[in-house]
Amino acid sequence: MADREYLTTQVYDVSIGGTVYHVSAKVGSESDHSGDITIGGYLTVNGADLSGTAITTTNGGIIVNGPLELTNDGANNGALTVADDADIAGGLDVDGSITLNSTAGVYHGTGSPEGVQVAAVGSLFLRTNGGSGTTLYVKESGSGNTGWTAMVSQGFSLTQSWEMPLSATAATSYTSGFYRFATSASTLASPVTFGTANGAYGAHAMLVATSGATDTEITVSGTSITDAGVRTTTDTEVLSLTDAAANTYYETDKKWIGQVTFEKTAGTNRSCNYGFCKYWDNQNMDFTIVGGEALWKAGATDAGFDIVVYHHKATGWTYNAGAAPTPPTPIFQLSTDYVTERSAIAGHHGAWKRTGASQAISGSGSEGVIVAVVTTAPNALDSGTITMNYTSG
Amino acid sequence: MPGYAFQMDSEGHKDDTGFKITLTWADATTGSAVDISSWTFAYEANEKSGSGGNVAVADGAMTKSDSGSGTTDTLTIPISFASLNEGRYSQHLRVTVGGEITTVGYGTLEIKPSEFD
Repeated sequence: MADREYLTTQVYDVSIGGTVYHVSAKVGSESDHSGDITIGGYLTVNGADLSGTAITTTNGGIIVNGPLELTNDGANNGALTVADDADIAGGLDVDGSITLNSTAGVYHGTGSPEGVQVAAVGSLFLRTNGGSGTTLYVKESGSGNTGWTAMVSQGFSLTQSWEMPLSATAATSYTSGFYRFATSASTLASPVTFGTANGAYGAHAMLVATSGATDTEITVSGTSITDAGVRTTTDTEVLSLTDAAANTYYETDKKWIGQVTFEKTAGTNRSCNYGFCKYWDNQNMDFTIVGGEALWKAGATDAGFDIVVYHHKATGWTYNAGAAPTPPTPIFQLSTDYVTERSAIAGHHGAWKRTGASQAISGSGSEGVIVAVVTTAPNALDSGTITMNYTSG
Repeated sequence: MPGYAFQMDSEGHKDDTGFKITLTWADATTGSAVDISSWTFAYEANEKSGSGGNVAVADGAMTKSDSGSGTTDTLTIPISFASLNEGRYSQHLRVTVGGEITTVGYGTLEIKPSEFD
């Protein structure tokens, strides 16, 4: 930085202790703000006011240990021009809008931008007083202040399809998972086996308890299998019935193959429904059911035909002492929608479609989807497909 | 005229980031550089209005350097205006050599308003 020109540069003669000396004196300021400042290195500003001063650096930089204020000078309006990349380690606080390549911009404000904010196609508007589905707007058409579309917060729509199970007899058949319950409840005070030896169930063991003590422990033993394909014989898992309320649901983290044994191994007797459950959990990922469709061709006329889509979860169960437990209320059920006109007609196609649902499923937890197809006549179905529409997350 | 202190009138502005006096010493007869490293200097400025604005710079805060002759012959006195009022000050520079104190410079320092308000 060039110093101010020294105000005085003079030579005097002074005497000190009888000796005469020439003294060349220069007196003046160290700073000069009167013109442009050209810097080859760094300019460090510790609070000095540089207003009205152009600052040019050559292969150097400017370090400002304080706020950098670019005031409106009436010509450049306080603009900051950056010819190269700008690296900002901290936050960037923009009171105005951000324009990208002189076209699309990022704007913000209260209320809808439609009819208000002029912008180029591709611009974004962040509404600071919006709600779900009215917070982010995209300028999709036009060059004026219209053409804004609100973006609805929704994941990508995905589908999962299953062939409908066919049965030669009247039956409740499952796809995407299954329930298999003991036909009545038990205290399991004595060991009770469930399933058939060597059966490839690959299902969780589950209980639905009546009300009672909170010290009961039910041990499930048998051969377990993991999703990684690891099979462990003589494995066990203890289910602790810690909720005293009726209709409380418990299931093992482990999945079981072959026959398992349920046995109360500690605490007070407490009657339970028990069985297996297996559900589709989207590879252990959370998802939201938004709709579904079913299409089938009937092989026989069946007035009792039904399709039930269950949200498998730990709540909503009903304990039944003398029968199987009742699963949670279905997400969709054909007979609920179609009521009387629900029959599968021999040789005829039929269809069922649902939209507008928003049923979150915690696939990362112990939740999933189970679809049951109920027939009350032999060979009621000739063929059929069920499709679930869901979004991730 | 030998035996007199030099006139040290100067001025500055409140927003100057620094102000300094630089004195280079030489023997008046031979022109050779004078070693001032053992000399003790003291600078002082006092506000003429009596408002109490004062600034003092002790020898330790000054810089003694070589003007190019291989001898420490240049004295630089940094002066800070940060705490001073605008106005006129009387200033003087004294040097102590061999126990003898001599005033070698005196004059007026005027601090003017900021040039960039």
